[in-house]
Amino acid sequence: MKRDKILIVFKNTSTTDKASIIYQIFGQCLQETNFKNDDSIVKNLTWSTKYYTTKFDLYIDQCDSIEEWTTDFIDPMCDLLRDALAGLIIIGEIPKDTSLISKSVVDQESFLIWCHNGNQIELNELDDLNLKMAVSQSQVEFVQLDNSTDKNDYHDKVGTERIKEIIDTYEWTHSKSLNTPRGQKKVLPPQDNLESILTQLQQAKLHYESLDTDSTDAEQFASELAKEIADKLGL
Amino acid sequence: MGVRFILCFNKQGVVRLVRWFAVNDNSTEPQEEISQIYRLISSRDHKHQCNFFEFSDDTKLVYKRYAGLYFVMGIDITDEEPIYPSHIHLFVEVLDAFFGNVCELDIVFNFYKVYMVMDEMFLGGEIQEVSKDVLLERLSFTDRLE
Repeated sequence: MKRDKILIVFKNTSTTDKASIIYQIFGQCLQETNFKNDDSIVKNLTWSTKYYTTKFDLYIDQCDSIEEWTTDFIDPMCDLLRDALAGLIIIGEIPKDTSLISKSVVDQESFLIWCHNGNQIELNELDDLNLKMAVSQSQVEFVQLDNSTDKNDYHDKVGTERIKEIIDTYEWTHSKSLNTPRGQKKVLPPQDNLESILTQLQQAKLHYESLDTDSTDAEQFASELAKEIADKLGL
Repeated sequence: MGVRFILCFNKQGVVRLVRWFAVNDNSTEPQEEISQIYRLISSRDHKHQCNFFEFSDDTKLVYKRYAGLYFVMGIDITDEEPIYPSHIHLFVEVLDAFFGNVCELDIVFNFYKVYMVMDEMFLGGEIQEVSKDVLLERLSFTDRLE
């Protein structure tokens, strides 16, 4: 099944703050849409990177309690939604008890980002928390939305940039590759051209041997021929 | 043999690069070994613990962390560790110069080029070339042939 939905859940956030956070993360996608602050579904957004583009739908939800929302979300009634999700982004304060997040809230093929928007947490503390969750094989990554910097001590991206990086490196099931200049294939000369080049080289060798190798004519002939062959081969 | 393997994985443990130079004598599957390495490295205190430690009877691990990626070398137990972080650093610097501000996405979508860089630097578990300029010149020539 195509995983082409991203669900973003806000805990007790005002409409203005919701819109601001959505624009922070998905601003590049929302430019050509008629997104309104109270929209709950935004369809056919395009996520672009230098290597691919992909289309996805953004689902926006709100709740009073993340625990209750999560309990409803892992209910078998929501299996179809979870199967279609590329990722889940939760906007709310990180709970003191992270065992709630140890449950398999999303499938292994989806990403799960918890964006902390409460009191500032030290980047090192957040890093340690993320490593602890990774070691316990939990999929969640904690990100702090309000950061004074884009990178931590290890030059890892933090905040909104990290969220974008996670979405960039997600294995989309239906992305469209872009031909980057490095990725463009050079057209090889057709077979008959290669044969003519080889014939030309053989003739040039015979001609070069008949020239006086000490003279500049021979050298000039050799360099002109080398340039001509290089151009034909596209080098 | 100096280097037994080179690994690169991100903070979630997703492997981005792996190259084995030595046959694994243990009974553990490579995937299991990689998971073990990830768990060991992730749980280290990166501020207060050093970047190398013994992994098995014949292997030591040397690692460095760059922008969300861990670059790990498994080296022979009898080898001296301090030179290997600089090998890792050179590898990353060459990648950065080759791709221009390299990021994880470059490694994912151009993994064959990253292996090309690795093969220019390391052969049979030994480092072949330590000059960044020489490496970049060779790599740009090879890249033009594509």
